[in-house]
Parts: sequence; C-alpha cells; structure tokens
Amino acid sequence: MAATTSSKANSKHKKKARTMSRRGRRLRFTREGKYFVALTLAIGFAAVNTGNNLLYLVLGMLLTLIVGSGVLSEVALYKLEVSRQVPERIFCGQPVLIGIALTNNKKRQASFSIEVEDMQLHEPLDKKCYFLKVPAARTQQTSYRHAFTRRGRYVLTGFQISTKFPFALFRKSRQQRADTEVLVYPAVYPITPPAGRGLGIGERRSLRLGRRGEFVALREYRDGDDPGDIYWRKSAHTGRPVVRQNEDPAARQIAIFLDNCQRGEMLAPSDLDRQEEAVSRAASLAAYYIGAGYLVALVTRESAVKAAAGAAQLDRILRALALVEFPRDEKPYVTPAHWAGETVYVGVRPAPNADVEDGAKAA
Amino acid sequence: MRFSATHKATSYLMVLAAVFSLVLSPDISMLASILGLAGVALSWFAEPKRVPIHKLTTIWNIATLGFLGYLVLMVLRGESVITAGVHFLLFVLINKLFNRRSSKDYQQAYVVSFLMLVAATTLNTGLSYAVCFVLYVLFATWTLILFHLRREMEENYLLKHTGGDQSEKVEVERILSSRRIVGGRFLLGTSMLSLGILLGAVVIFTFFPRIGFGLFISHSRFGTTMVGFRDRVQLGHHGTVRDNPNVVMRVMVDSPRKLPPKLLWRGSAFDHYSAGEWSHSPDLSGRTQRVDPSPTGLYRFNHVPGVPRGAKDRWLRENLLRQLIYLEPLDSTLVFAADRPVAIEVPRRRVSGRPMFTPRRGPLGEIRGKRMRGSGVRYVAFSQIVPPSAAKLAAAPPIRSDRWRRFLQLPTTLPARVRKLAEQITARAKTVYAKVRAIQRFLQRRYRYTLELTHDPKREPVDEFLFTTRAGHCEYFASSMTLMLRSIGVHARNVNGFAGGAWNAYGRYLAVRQGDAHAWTEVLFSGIGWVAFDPTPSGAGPRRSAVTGVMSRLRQMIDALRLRWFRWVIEYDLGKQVSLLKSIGRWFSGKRGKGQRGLGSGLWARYRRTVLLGGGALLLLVALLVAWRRRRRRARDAGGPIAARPSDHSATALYQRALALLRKVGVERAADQTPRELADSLSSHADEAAPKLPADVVDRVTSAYYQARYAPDETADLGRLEVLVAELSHAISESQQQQQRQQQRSSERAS
Repeated sequence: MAATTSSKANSKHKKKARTMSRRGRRLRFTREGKYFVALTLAIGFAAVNTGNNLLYLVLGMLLTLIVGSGVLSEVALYKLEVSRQVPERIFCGQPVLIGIALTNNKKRQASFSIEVEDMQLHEPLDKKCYFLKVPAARTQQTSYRHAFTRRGRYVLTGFQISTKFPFALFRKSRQQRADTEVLVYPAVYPITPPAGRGLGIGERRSLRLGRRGEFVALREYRDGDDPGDIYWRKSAHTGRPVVRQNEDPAARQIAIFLDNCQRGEMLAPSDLDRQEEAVSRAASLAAYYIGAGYLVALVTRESAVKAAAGAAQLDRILRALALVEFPRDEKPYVTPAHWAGETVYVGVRPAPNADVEDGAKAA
Repeated sequence: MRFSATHKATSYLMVLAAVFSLVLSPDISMLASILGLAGVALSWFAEPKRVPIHKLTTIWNIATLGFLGYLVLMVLRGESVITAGVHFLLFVLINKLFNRRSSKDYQQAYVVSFLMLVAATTLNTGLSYAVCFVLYVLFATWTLILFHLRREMEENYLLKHTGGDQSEKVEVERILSSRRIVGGRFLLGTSMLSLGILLGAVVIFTFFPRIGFGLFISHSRFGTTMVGFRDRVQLGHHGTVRDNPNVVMRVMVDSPRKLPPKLLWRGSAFDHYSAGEWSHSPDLSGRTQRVDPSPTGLYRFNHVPGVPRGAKDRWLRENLLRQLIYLEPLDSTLVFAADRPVAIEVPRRRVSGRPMFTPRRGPLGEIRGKRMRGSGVRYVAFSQIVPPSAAKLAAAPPIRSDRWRRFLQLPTTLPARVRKLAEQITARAKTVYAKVRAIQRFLQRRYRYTLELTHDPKREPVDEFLFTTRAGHCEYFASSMTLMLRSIGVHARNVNGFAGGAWNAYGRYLAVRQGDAHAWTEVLFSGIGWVAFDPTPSGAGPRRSAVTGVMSRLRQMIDALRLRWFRWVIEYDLGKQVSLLKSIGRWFSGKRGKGQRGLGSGLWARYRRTVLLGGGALLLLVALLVAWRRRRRRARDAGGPIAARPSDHSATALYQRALALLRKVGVERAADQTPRELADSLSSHADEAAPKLPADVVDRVTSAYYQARYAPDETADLGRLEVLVAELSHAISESQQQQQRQQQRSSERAS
C-alpha cells in the first residue's frame, strides 16, 4: 500500500507539530546520569547524617554540575537550525543518502556534540546524524542513509535535535518543524523485454531528437548544430547560444497498461505484494522503453500519462506510479485518444488474453 | 592542541588534585604519599602502544588482591578502616592509570578520584583541601567535557556513510589527534563554567539546611602534638617549638587596641617539681571537676581579684575581656584563655542543644574540655586582664595556712645554694610582693635569654641555670623563680601557656603560634588569689610582631584565609546559617543589627529605596526584553523558512566545489570547455582518462547545475545540486579507496 497521506492526516500532523513546538524541551537521563543522581543523593545523605561541611561542599558541586549541565545543553541547542536535502529520485527499497545541514546561528558560541534525527510523522527515524562541533555562524553538513520500504508520498515532518553535552548526564532534545514531502518511486530493476518487443542487436538507439516533436531540453550550441534550432530568447537571456531540443515524432510509441483494480473484499499480504510487484514491473518497463528511445505512455484505470520520451517523461511516469492506488471499482482505462502505438499490459491477475501477459495486446 | 593529549593532561590534573587532597592529610604516611604520587607520575608514560599492557593484567590483578589482603591484615592489627580504604583507593587508581586502554578505564579512574575527594573530607579539613577542591572542580569540568566528546566520537565516528550499500569504519585515532576540536578558547570558556560551578557550590553550601543528625559517624580533625601541654613537662623542650610558626589559636576581641602589649594565655599549671620535670602531685593528677553552666550559658571557673563575688553574668559580659577563640586541634584537652580567666561560653549544637564540648575545672585552675581532644573548637572566654594594684598586693599578708603546702614543695636534689641565693636577693624585702618583685627583677636583669643550651644531665637544671649557664629560656626563668620563691616560703606554681601573638591585620585577630609557647610563675597572695609574674626578660620572649616583609604578609594572609575557612566552612552550622539569613534580611530591609557596622548604614541607608526601585525596574526591563525576543523567535519559527541559506550555497559555488573534487582525481576543466562539454568528454573517455571516475554522477551534476543556474528561481533546484555534489564526493572517495585496495592487492600478489 502506498504511504500516502490524506489532507486530513496532514492537518492532524500540523496540529501535532504545533503542540510539539509548544512543548519545548525534553529531558531524559542517561545511564551515567542516573548513577550520578544516585551518587548525589548518597553524598547528600552522608552530609546530612554526619554534618561534615566538606561533604556539603561536594554536594554543592554535584548539584551545580547537574544545573550547569542543563544550562550548557540549552546553550548548545540554542539557535540551531536544521535543513535537509533529499535526492531527486528515490526508489523503493533502494538506500539513499539524505543530506542534513546544521546551522549554528549563534554569534559567538560553538555548539558541541549535537545529534539530529529526522522525523517522519513526528516519530524519529532510527538514523542519527552526529555533529561534533558546529562553530558559531557556520553550517555543517552530513548525511544519513535510509531506504524507504514502500513507494508513495512520505512527509518528513521535522527534526529532533538533541545533545548530551557537556557531561552526558542527560539527553536534552527539542524538535524543529520542517515539513518535506518525499515521493518514493516504485522499485525499478533491469528487465527482460516482453516477447517480440525487445530490440535486437544493432537496433538499440538513444533518444531520437527532432525539430517538431515535444520539447525535451535546452543545451549549449555545438559546432554542427543547425542554427535554426537556436532558441533565441533563452540565448539572449544567458548570453550564449542555446539550442532547443525536441522529440522526434516518428519514434516508436508504446503504452503501458497497469491494471490497478483491487478485486475481492480483503487482500492477503501476498496480494498486496503482487500489486506492488505489478507497479514495480510497470516502472521497470517504462524505464526500459524510455532508455531504448521509445515514446512511452502510462495508462491506468484512474489516470494516464501522455506518451513522450526522455528523462522527464520517466519522472512523470514514475511519479504517477508512485501514487497509483488500487481501488475496488473496476473503472475503464483512461486510454489516450487516437492511440496508434503498441501496448504492454501489466496487472495483478492474468491479462484478458492469457497468452499475452506482459505482452502486446490490442488496446 | 591535540584532542587526545589535552584529554589525557586534564584527566591527570584532575586525578592529581584528588590525590593531593588525600596525601596532604596527616593520616597518609609520607612513604605512601611518595609512592602514590610516583605511581601516578609513572603511569603517564604507560601508553598502550608502548607498553604491552594486556600481558601485565594478571600481574596487576594478583598485586591488587595481595595489597587488599595486606590492608585487611593491617585493619585487623588496629589500623583505621578509612585509612586502609584510602590506601586501597590509591592503589586502584594507579592500577587504572597504568591500564587505561579505553574511555571506560578513564571513567573508572575518575570515579576513584572522586571517591578520594570524598574520603579526604574526613581526613583533611585544612585549607589545602580547599585548594585541591577548587582545582578539582576546574580540572573535572575540562575532563568531563572532553571525556564526553571522546566517547561520542568513538561511538558516532565509527561509521562513515558512502554511496555504496555498506558503511565504512573510520579511524578514530585520526580524529582523536585532531587539533581543531579544542583550543585555548575552549579551555577558557569551560574555566568560566568551572567558576560558575564553584559559585553554585558555594551558594548551595551556604543555603542547604544544616539539619545534621550525626546518627552514625562523627568526624574530627587531627591534633597537633605540642610540647609543654601534657601532664608532665621536662625542662628544655621548649626550645624545640620556639621557631614553630604554626598557628594554634586565633583570638578575636572587640577592641584590639585596648589589649596589653603582652597577654598571657593561660593553659596548664603544675605544683610538683622533681629532677627537672614539672607535674601534678599524685593526689591531683587527672582530677577534674564538673562545672554547671549558668542560665545564660556561662561556665564559671575561678574567682579572680577585681571581680566582685556573686557578680552576675551580665556584669561579666560587660566588664571583662571577651575573647572569641578558635583553637586548632591539639593532642590536649586544655582550653586556653587570657590570664585570669573567669568564665567561658561554649556554643551549642543547634539540633541536640548540647555544648560542643563540656568544660571541666582542673585541679590547679586549668580549664579542660571533655570530648575536645582531636577537634578544633570555638568558644568565648571572659578574663580579668587588669592586674591587682601593687599597693593591694604589697598589703597582702604572708600565708600561714597549711592548706597551700603543696605550693612550697621543693625537690630534695635542689642544692641549698639556691635558697641562699633567694634569701640574699630578698634580704631587704619585707612583704611577699616585695620578695616576688625582687626575684623577678633579679632574674630579668642578671640572666640572659637563649635557646641554645648545653645541659649537663648530672646536674639539677635550675641550679645549673642559676649558677653556671646563667642563660636559658622561659621555662628556666619560670622554674627558677618558682623554686626560689618556694625556698623562702612564698607559695608559687609553674604555669605554661602562650604569650602575646601576632596581630593579623587581614583577619583582624591575634594569631597565637606554637612558637609563642611560654612559661611563667603564679604567686598566691592572701585574700587576693593567684597572680602571674613573668621573670623572663622583656623583649626576649614572644611578643606581638609587626607585619614585615612579603613572606610575613603572605603568611598572615594565608592564616586569615585559614581562619575564614575554619569559621565559615568547617564550622558552618545552622546557627550561622540563620544569622546569615537574618543579616541578608536586614541588609535588604536597611535595618541595622545590634553592634553591626556598615550593613545598614551610610550610603546604603540613604539610597536603599532608589537602588531597590532601580534594580527592580532593570529586572523588569530585562524580563520584557527576553519575552519579546522569545516571542519574535517563536513567530519566526512558526512561519519562517526552514533554514537560512548561506551565501556560499549558490549554484556556482556548488559547481566549483564539484570541480575541486574532480581536480583531486586529475580532471581539470579547460578554459574553453563548457560544463556540458566536460561532462560529455568524461562520459565518452571514461575508461581512458579516469578509470574509476563516476562519469554518470558528473553528468547529473552538470545537468543539475544548468537547471539551478539558469532556472528562474535558483534556490528551487539548489538542493538537488547540493545532494549530487555530495554524492560525487562520496563516489570519488570510494573509487579512490577501491583503487588503493586494488593496488595493495596487486603489490601483495607481486611480492
């Protein structure tokens, strides 16, 4: 099941986030801190029992160490801001590096021994980023590896910033709101093309570009380019000749049909896995055909992505697949009008024509 | 400075502060102190890399068990458990310092050092503990912070995330050797923290309620052994303490200017003399009488001339010299007071209401304190320091009663010429007083004060002093006068105590040192009582010394500090706490306490209202400012951007960073080469130019750079570019490491 969050859930999260912000600091004693408190109590008892004033002095030192620890940890957490950098493409099950940047906005004091935990739905992920020292008015960056186990939309709601500085007696933490929406694409793996659809040796070609097709990208002018392809408006803006690249409309077209319909009342875990497998297969097919220079369209029972080629098209398809759901209603496919290309069927159950599963089928 | 070296140095300083707090106590023998300090010093060089510590673990374990067994035997033979425990702690500390392999060993050493500091609270109550305590707080603050950072480094820097599936272990030693983590500024900042901790400790110490019950343990300080204040006093031993500068008693009086130039501080008295030794007669030895306190808490001792019989406590408090005396721990139960003490007042414990010690009357007018031995005490003494007039003494008739016969005792070994000499001196004297003055003057004028004595053990010391050496110190003068007076029928006794003292201008008290020990004679006058006469030549004996020289001033300052330490730390109790709180209350209310100077007077009284109002307004202003800043910050947090973007995070800067990374692997962008051309050339010549270069990542970085650089809103795509540059960094370092590994493998194969 995709990890999507409804608008209702979002508002709930926001409300919870505001509550957290008001709640402020959290304090949790470490193991050493518990021993330290026990020792302080023992010294206090000994001081009261014996009336030995030097023990009172030692007790004063221990109590002040606890208080000083609280103050210093507060100073360490003060004026810290965290931001995250999420990779452009995140695939289900594939580890990614998520960048964490910690900025110390204090003018003079450095912050020592800071831990940052990313939070998803207000719960910390089990990944910690440690910053030994963040000098004043500086930013430091690190990253953590994380693998999202399901495709879909995730909301990273904020950060838990904590420290055990200076004496590791307790861990003080505060939370910072920072909502980031992460779209996790279905897993894409190398795939064998369906029978009859693979490209033979010598037929493999890269993305074919033309002059009349859909816009693909801009690039700098190179020797040999047709001056007629220069995109003058952008060239004037950048001060360098820039060429506009379009698709070749004559390229081969294929539509991937995903049968996203949930049949039956309750779904067994194996059914869910098969749904995800189907989505993943559709994504892999899209990646394969786009890599082979096809114009690829995606057709589901809820939405459709128009045929196009290039990396941007793969992103569009993967985005659609990341969010695709399996409703109970068996709606008709949202087939593009005047479709003249080939089709590939991907579904949980066997295709209407059993011998063409994962194969070509008439639209 | 290197992190690991700094951590090691501060750890040792902290441990040494704790060790010194113990070894400076009198309970630790000199040998143990030297061995302990040497062990700590040697362990500095026992680095795990240099010394094969793992091979010595068994030896250390056996040695620890052996030492423990030895200490158990010592305890069974009567050694103090605390002392044995402290020696064991010292051994364990050295063991830990020699075997410090990980941060855990350091942690255990810290725990042991803290236990030593706690143990020292019972063994070392001197000013040296204060110094060690301050140093311990300073070094402990540094050490604990550095220790925390070290452990966090060891735990968190073990893993380094790379672009691959597996994270790599990082060499912790390299990070521990870093010079960028801590520096002088860090240590200075944490020193300020230490100062705060010290202040906090003092505040808590001051205001923590003193409701001690003393259920299980009572603590005491260790006494100073003093010559001259035991039950028997041998002539000639005084010289050994004459130059001892240790303060034994500090006396505070209400009006120091009214003090006579040479006060005598009475201690013990003796009636029996034999073979150069003063002692109590057998029937008096060890006998003391209980004294009940008056309703106002005064213990009255002696009737002295000048004090009306039946005088009320109030009269005594108002007309006699009031001395607040801090007596250092002595191996004696004597209570000292200015000569002719009349009464003393002993402070009571706040909870139990019992006096700190129980005063008792000695057989010869001494004041002794039960349960006082081995602990420093504070008490108030009232003395009649105005001597009876010469006329009154001259009018006193000779004593005929046999009741005082013991004060005419003479040793059989005393040659007859002593009596003859006394008779010669007093031949013209008619009264007892005249005889006493004649002998006193004779001794003061004809004899010389010296500490360098040559004594013939076969001879009677007094006879030798009077007829041969004609020089000696106060004991010889006093003994000679006493015996000569006795030989002519005047009742006299020998008294030991202190004379004078040094005025400490910093502490405003009179410091009486061991070197001020003195002896004199007391003579009994009929109808008047005992009166002191000092036959020692004036100027030769102890006297109030002026503050001269830097060392002297320094010594006085330290002694004043010691007194304050004793008064306000060691002796701090509920009574002082209540007084202090009352003083603070009075200070704020502006009321002047009885007999107090300055607290509620002068400028403060005049401007109190203004200062309080101004202070209140200032506090309010600060509170408003803090609240306003907090509110502004909250508002910014609620609606502001997630993070401010530093200026060096532009697309160009990020691409420059990527180019710098490429330069590390030998890829340089030509001056006429566009970013795209560079990426394309790397993709097409990936195998030739840089075999392990992640060309695909470079390609993506270039695309992202173009997108971010030329997009309408540059910041929108910066994040992606930033992550890609980080990915490039990881990929390059990973490929370099792989290359190194391959080279290593191939070289191994070749070899």
